Amino acid sequence: MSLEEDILIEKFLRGELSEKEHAKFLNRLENDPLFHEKVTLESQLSSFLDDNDWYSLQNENPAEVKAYEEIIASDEITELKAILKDINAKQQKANTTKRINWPLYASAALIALIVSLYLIMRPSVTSEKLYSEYISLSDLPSLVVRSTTTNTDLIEAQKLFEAKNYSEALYIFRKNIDQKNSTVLLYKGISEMQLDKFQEAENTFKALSNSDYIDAEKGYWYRALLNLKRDSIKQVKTLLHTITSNKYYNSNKALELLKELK
Amino acid sequence: MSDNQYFLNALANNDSKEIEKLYENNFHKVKKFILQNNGQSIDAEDIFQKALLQITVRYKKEPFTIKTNFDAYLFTVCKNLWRKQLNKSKKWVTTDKDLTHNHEDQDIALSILEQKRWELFKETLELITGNCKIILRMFFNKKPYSEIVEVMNYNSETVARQRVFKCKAKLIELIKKDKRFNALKEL
Repeated sequence: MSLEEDILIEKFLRGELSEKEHAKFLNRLENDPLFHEKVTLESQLSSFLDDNDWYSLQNENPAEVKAYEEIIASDEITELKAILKDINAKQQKANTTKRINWPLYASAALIALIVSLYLIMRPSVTSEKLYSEYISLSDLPSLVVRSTTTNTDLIEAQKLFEAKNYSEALYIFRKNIDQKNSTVLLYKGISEMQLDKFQEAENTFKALSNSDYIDAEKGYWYRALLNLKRDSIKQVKTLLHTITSNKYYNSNKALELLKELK
Repeated sequence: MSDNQYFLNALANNDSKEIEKLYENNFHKVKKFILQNNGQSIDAEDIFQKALLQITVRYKKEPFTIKTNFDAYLFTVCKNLWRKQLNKSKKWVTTDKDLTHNHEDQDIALSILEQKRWELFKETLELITGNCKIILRMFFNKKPYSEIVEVMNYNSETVARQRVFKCKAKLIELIKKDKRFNALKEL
């Protein structure tokens, strides 16, 4: 393969071909089996060796897939599936029980340890775990879709945010905060929260819940998560009760979280 | 019998006592990884069960040896299944797969082929020595050429492109020499 051809395939995989070049490329792909083979291999390498990507095979009927499917459908594997399901249920139940009963049987020394951890403002393992379970960053609305004009700054900020580069994302959110866009406020608060800038995040979420935006009530949910992250359980509970009694955003999740905190 | 072989046999023989030990020793680590990577507890439970199924089905068809230790291998399989899941949801809109017929079984079967291919590529990349390995790692993780120029101290992006081209050709040559490659070619 020549360097030119290599560059062409790379541009195709990165979506950098013009419409005309793309059509020409697809035509060659369809009519040149050797070229098709090269592109497939390059595409697989490009996805499998990228830590953030994966190549999902699409071909549904090769003999090997069928052979595996036959084993999967066997009685032995059906039995294994049932065993795994049972063990999983047992393990999850054991973990919950452990979490509920643990404080009752904890030794004085352990309690003292927790108190000291609390005093140095370090979140408990349970709070940390619950925070990770409930934060659900992938459910956030997209900044790009909601923007009325194409703001390249915000596109960049969202990319940085998704790459967990919160400090650089926060810099852009702060620059764009006077826009009439509640989602920017939300992203700004979450970036601050992820960076442990607790007071700033609290102010941002308060500004959101005190605003006239349609998303205003989300401010309560994220303030609850913020307090969960800094292990201020009393405040978390107060906010969650406000959410459930007013049927604010995520009231079902708030109820679920309240049960977990009991 | 090595520990690796012991656990593979326990899975192949549906030994619930030993499988329970696998859960106790490994599930927490997998759950932590998934929670840190945009997942929920329920995702961790699903991925963990799929990983154990994947390993068992593969072992039943073609008994294989694990080159690291069993726990590390299980964690890698879980990580790869989660990568697959995350990328599947991203590409969901453009996927037109038939979701009705035995989709879950087919998904496990395909995930075995994907895992085998990933192992071939990853192991071959490890065979590459010196700067080539560094360059390829950066290239496949979509680092811009400007960054490759800076890290490798090259004179220009043209030089970086040529180096990537040569290193990639070397990698592909080694992959094609591997007997495992022929089985993958047809897919």
